[in-house]
Amino acid sequence: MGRNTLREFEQAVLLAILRLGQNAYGVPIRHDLSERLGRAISVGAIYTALERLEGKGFVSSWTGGATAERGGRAKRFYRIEAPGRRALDAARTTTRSLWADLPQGALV
Amino acid sequence: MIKKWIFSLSNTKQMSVEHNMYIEHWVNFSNHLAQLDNATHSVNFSNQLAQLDNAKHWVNSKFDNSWEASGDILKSVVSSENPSIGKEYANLTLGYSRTTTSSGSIEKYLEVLAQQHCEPDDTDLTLPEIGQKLLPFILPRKLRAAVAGDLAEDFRDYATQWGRPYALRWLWWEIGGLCIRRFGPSAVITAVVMWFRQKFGC
Repeated sequence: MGRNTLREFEQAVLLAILRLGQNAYGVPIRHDLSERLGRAISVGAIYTALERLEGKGFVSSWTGGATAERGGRAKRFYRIEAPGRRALDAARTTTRSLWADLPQGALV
Repeated sequence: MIKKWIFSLSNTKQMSVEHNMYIEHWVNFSNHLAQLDNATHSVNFSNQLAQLDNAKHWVNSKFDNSWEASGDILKSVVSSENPSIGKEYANLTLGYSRTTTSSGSIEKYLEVLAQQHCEPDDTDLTLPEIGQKLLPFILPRKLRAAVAGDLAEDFRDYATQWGRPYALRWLWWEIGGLCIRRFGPSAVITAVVMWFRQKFGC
């Protein structure tokens, strides 16, 4: 797996960050993915993927404010960067080309 | 003889204190129900109120069986058509059971029953202390506050929605997953086996 390619789960995390915009931190990302993928996603899985994406330069993070319901602990917000957008676009193009030219009724 | 008499006196005094608290609890609760009844005008609820009133007299006349009676009444109230009243009653029962000094099986049963139906108080919504102490060892420094905060936020949500036992199961599952990701499965299995050996000497 190349440095600039995306695994399926990484792609899902990047898309969740795009969807959530300013509110992209661990909890809403996890809930969004659990809902869309139809399975429970662990906190560890989310942060492992986010760390990897940050290492590749696809996302950047910053520390936000603390709230009482988090026991005074700060949130870590994520934002998608230009290489991340390019990687997503490339992944979409690849998926489209893989799905193209299938014979009629191939999936039935 | 004197010692026996002093013991009997203190025991009677304790029972009397508990009895008074119990009656006070019933009076407060009945008043509260009466207010709710005026507001809702529910026929079913009025019937239930009458049953509760009968039960109160019965409880007062037979103090020895008060806990059993309270358990039966709690079950009938929490299964009623009005869940908010059930929660209110469970809160009152839980509050009362926590103030008593006795800890028999019926009292424990009642406390568990009340916990299942009451509105969780704030201490039920926070991460357990052992979990909070463990997290710094299994999380990298950079993500420590963020992950611990996320766990605390979700724990609060789950405890509110599905109760503390569910939230605790979820939390330990997550902590287990974090341990495996941080140290690898073999290290975690070795640690658990060593803990069992130390604990049970096998």
